[in-house]
Amino acid sequence: MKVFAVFNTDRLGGAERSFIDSLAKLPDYAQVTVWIPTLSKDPLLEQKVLALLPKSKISRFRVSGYYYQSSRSSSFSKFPLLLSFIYALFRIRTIPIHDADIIWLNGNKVGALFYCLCLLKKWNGTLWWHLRDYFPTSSLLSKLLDRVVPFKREFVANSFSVANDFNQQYESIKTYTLYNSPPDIKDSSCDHKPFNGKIGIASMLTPWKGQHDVLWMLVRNESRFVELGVKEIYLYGEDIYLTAGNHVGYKDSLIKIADKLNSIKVIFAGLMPLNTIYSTIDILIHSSIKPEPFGRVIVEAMAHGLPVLSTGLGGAGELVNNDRAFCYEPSHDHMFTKAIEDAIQDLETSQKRTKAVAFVRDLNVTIDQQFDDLMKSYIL
Amino acid sequence: MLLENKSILLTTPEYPPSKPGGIATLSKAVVDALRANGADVEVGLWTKPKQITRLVKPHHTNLIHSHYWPTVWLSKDDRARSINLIHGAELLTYSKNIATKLLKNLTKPYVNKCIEQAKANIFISQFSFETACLLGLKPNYERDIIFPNRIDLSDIHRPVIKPLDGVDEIRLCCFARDVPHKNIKGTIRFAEILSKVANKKITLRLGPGNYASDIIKINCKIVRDDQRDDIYRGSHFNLIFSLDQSDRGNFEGFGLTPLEAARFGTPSVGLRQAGLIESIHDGKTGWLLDEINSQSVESWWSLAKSQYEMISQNSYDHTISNHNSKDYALLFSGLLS
Repeated sequence: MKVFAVFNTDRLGGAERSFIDSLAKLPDYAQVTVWIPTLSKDPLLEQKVLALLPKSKISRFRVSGYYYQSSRSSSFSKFPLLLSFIYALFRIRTIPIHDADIIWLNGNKVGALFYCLCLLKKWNGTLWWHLRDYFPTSSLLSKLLDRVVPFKREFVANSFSVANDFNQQYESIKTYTLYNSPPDIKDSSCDHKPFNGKIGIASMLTPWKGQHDVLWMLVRNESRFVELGVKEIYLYGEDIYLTAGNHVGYKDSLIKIADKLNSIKVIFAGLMPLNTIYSTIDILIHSSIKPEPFGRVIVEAMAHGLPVLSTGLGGAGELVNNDRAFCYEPSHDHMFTKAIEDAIQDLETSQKRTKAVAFVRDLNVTIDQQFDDLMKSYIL
Repeated sequence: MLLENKSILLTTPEYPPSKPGGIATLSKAVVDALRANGADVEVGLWTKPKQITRLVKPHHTNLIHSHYWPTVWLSKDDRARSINLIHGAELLTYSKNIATKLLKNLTKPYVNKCIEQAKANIFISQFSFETACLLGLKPNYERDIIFPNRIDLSDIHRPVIKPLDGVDEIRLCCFARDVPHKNIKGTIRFAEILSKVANKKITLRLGPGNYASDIIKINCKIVRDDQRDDIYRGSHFNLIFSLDQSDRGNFEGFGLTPLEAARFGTPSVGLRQAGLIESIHDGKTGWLLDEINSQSVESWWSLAKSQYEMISQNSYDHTISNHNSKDYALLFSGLLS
């Protein structure tokens, strides 16, 4: 079984970590060739692939930068985007796809691109298009997916929320769900922990992740949070998106909002290893103000024994509820304050954290089942 | 006091009791909250936006505009000390008059620039903010703040939750103006379908208008302000089925009636459109339908029967904790000079 695993980007984010975890579940006899687009000089992704998939072969391909500048808010039907898409297709034409039995595409950008390539080259293997985000509404994509194709195609969503959204557009296409794998559960995850006054958000710096929403709530209610013992808020992540959109200049806005705080310190901590993040902060805030395709940081924090606050939008709603997390609505100051207060208390009592750890344990069983279902679709 | 020594001019086209309406209610709530925290607030009522320059001239400190439109007539310096409250639909450029529509479209970039020069813009919902961005506003997250609507909650006491089990009659209310996007026809349709699905007598209390139905009982007599709260209190559900008609100049920026009804533990049912998804938290403080038809009403009814008491209680608790107009003092304390 020869598998071409195609990454959407060359920078290591949550989607990439999850993809590597999924690839590691492939049977031993699978020969994996990892294809990574060359967009930046970040070595982390390649290092992670080599560490977890030592038998795999790594290859690179080049695409046009403009194609990567489209984002959630961009339209796939824009004429310049179409031109850059054609150019990108031209640049990947030499990839030997006929050597692959399965082409596994990790995201919508490489999804559309390689889907077209497979169509043009009349490739007849099995294509897995992994939907890492909500599928864009586009007449061009719709025409593409409505075509009869010579290959077998499966769409794999990373949450039921993403799958449902896709099936609302494409009712007749069968969709599999494969949750992102959580990390190993820490032995001490349910232990009593002191609150050291450190809360944090671990997401890319982009408006829909809601860092500004949390900072504004801190500004408006600073005295209350100080009373609760909050001293520092860590903002992990950088703007890793190569796309154009509202996130341009976002970090500067966050810095200016942070300046309005008198006692609570805002630390822009950048990209950090998971262990550093979850051993530094006491409470994780998952603050997305738009539906989140999955919300990997939620299960990571749960596995590390941290109380998780979440807006629970989209796929995140499949991971959190009030039994195992502390839910709040965006821009709802009192709900947010109460959630922080309850989370601090849970560091002492471990009530919700214990349930969260049990959930992560069960999630691994669910994921194994989901992966088996996907594999059966190929074998059968 | 939080806002002691703060001097503010609040400009508004509506202020009670002379012109009741959504902007009037909001303006009053803001003024009351600021005054209660020691601010010296003067209210400047305008009928034409141009009057704003005359109103603003004697004031040299903080300006709050309940409607952003007059800021277009202000100088750059005055804009820089202005805080705009932005509701949503007023941002749209639609007009039935083609010449007006063209003019609005042509001037939109300038209007956006004026809003971008403000000290702060307070949007009543994420949906309104996104609409502004779609219409060309360059977002600035240090200047543009989402602050969901608040209402006056003084003299509100924990209600006794009405039972739904075993009642012969379901009482519904919907206080909306008789304009197309408020979807009164859809509201009546919902009530008629419900009477069949629930097999119960339905009474629907509407605002003034000429409505009739052979299936349900409709009451659309004029409602006095003091009667309104009694109607909310006595209703099992508040309905708000406003449509997103952005292409025709109207949408619900937030939707205040779910908050008003929730003061009495009356949950709301709405459509999953525009700002309603932010005023009704689906499955928590009320329910949102994708459309009004037999299937959707039937599914909703089976949920509502089992969740009624919990959602009623949640709607009250949520509103009391999160939508108190006193919070406007906190919002403005960090923004005023």
